[in-house]
Amino acid sequence: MQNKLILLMVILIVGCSSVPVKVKFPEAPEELTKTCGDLTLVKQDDHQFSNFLNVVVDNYGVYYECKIQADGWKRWYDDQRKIFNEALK
Amino acid sequence: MFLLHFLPDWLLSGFVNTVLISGAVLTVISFFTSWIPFINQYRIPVQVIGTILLTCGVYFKGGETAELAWRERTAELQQKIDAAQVKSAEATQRLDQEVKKSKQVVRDNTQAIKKEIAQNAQQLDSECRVSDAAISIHNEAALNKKPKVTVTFDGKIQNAK
Repeated sequence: MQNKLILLMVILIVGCSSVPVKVKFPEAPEELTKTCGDLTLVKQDDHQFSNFLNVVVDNYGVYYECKIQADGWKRWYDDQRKIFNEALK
Repeated sequence: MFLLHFLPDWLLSGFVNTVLISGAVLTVISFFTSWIPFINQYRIPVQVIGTILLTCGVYFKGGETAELAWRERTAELQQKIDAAQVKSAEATQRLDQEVKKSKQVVRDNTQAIKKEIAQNAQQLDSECRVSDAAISIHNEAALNKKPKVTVTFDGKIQNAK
């Protein structure tokens, strides 16, 4: 009985087909996988304009770094799409 | 077919060719050697076996040709994908370096601007004092919250409804 079952399994498995091509999902650049920084707040009791300006400048820096990352993701996607589309043409 | 993938090309071709050739040989022998008395007595069974082998051989040959053609196409595709993956890794590495460099430029510029603020801090602080309302509005904007305070044109601070 067991032998017949094995034979049946073998016969059934003959009809299956596997995908012989191995494709690995591309790794994203490490620098793009970092999250964007949080914006800094001004201390409520700190009325000095220079300190206020420092916080604003820091926040602009956070924005520009985040913009670089967002633009980087777009570029990475475009590059990868172009490479794989050209390869599979 | 799934199980055929485990067989190497030479084994598959060898088996198919053996079946085909032996079928062809047996068929030919059974048809053209009827004049030899000793062989003639086995003519019918040899003819049957030969025909069955030849038929199976032709069928297998067709399957083998299709299987080998698929294997060739698969190998070609795998080669293209491997090349694309190398290119992809290079592009990723290049982009990573560029992003790192661009972020460093932003950080350097931020530090340079802060240095300039520090140099002019005395003058900036003497000319301007930041009000509570300005700090609140700035912080609300930074947190992307709905404003709690509003400043009227005459400079009065009101709590938002």
